[in-house]
Amino acid sequence: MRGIKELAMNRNTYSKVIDFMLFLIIFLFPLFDSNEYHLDVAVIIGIYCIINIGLNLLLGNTGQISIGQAAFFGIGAYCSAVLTTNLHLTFWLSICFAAILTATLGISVGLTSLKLRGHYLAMATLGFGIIASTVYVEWTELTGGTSGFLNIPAPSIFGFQLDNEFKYYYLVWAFVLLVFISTQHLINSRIGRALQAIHEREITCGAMGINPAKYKLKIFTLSAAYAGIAGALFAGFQNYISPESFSVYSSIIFLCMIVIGGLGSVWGSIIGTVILSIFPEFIRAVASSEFISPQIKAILNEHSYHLIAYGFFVLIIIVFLPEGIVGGVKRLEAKAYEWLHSKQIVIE
Amino acid sequence: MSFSNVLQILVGGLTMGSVYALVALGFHIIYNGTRAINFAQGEQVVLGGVIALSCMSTLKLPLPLAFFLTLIIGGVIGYFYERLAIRPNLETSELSIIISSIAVAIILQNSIAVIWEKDPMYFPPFTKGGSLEFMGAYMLRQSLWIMGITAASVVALDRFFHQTLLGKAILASANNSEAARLVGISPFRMVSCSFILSGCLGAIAGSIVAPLTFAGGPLGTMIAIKGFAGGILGGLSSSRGVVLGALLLGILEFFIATFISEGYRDAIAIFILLIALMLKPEGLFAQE
Repeated sequence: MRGIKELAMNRNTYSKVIDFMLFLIIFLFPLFDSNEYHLDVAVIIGIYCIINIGLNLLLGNTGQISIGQAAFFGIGAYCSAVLTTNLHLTFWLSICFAAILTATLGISVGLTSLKLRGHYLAMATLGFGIIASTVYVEWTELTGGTSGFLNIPAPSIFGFQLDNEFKYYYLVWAFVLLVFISTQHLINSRIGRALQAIHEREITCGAMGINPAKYKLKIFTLSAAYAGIAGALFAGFQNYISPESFSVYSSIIFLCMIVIGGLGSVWGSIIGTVILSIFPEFIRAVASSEFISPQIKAILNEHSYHLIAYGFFVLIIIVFLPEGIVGGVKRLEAKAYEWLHSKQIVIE
Repeated sequence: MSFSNVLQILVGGLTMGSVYALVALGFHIIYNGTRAINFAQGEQVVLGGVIALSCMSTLKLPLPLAFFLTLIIGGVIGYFYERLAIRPNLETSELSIIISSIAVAIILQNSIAVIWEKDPMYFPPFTKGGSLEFMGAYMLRQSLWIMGITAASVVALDRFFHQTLLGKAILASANNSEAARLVGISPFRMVSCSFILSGCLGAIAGSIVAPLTFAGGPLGTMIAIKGFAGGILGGLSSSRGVVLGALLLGILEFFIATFISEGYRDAIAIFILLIALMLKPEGLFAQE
């Protein structure tokens, strides 16, 4: 019984142990499942995780909505594609440039939209997303237009070719780990507490000597840079990119992912991304399994039933867990704690 | 730029602007009731188009009857949409309402593709005949229908909100739901009414625009974005503002498409909108 109490006292260590174990599972995953397609999906999930951790920092911790995150993702991807393919720069450098470019754009979009909040900010970021996706389609000399940007060379790091899913998986998830740790530190630092305060009482913060505008701008820039890095990783992995991957629809799905995972929680971003990315694959696997008769299979393949199922899935989660999965788990934890208290298992 | 050019832009702009205005009004009504953006608004418009088409081709109903049936079905769908997807989250947060509406948009869009067709379907214009000529500018007959029906809807909606008890109750609940509850207005029922109204508006918009854009297809997102943009441009909290904003956006778009660039039309229109938003964040035509 003392064990439970001690665990509660050392909540911080306890959550660190969980973090460690979960990342251990993530890093051991390819050793047990070497299916190329699974790894392919897992790489894309990792890339989306990087974007969503930034987006969640922006929305969950600072209260700023963005429906334009896919624009930064796309700019990072095209920047890296152009630099590595046309200018033959190394992959590392292209990631750095993608991050710098998106951060700069993030500062300028952030600066102009500092005055805006709520739906106005949503419109401004959505508008930025639309402008960016028009540019991808129209600026054909640079982006290849709707047919896409082809023949992006496979990246290599210090002469080590990252030519298959297995190697790329580790690269991407190492980046996720890096982003995870730095974001976790950020949230638990003075800056993170300031952000939380800004989220709850912006005007009071001003009076306490916290400059809300400065912090909001920093986070906007940081989340743009995360998306840019994710874009560069995406371009390197895909060998070819097209405007569809960076549409407004993607931005909206990113938003769904973090709300479903849990706002204000780094794990929430990862869990939401994993669940909403795996669900369509799961449906696809069910639809092609041998338990289903070929007639039904033909109907399922012909129409977009999996997307309808996806919509219902999102709806059911948000109706039953409005605070997201992490919020639901926390509520359950609190209930379990209460119950332990009432049975006097935990002694104060 | 001659006079007929200007007239041509005005006609084209006001036609699409009218459709955006109906969508923007839908956003405005829901925004008043819940402070959330209804992402399914665009799909409700597309749904209106395909339902009207089915009423005419499958049920062989004459156009006016098909139009009214579509209106009613739109309202019913709005009602169920609110009860099933919005009501459970009404007291949690706006963001969960927004996610619910995104989920419903995905469901509607793909259900339309499964039940009807993936590609847009031909929808006959309300009245046959070539386009009309007026002082050098050409105008489709359908444009007249679109502008007329939109104007009638806007007037009817205004009357409803200011002269009927139900309309006043919705406004009261939107303004101060606590106080409205004290005088016996159920805020839940008012939100429900808002969704029915916006469903009807979507159905109207969908059936009048279908002859121009065809029925079905992936149009919903773009129409919703334009309606929302128009609403924000005018000021989402005022009904007059959203209509004027949407009309202005329609004209702006046509102007850009004619004189600057067809491909960059949306991008430039949105860019101008963003500048307007920076200069006057509460909307160009917002009251107060």
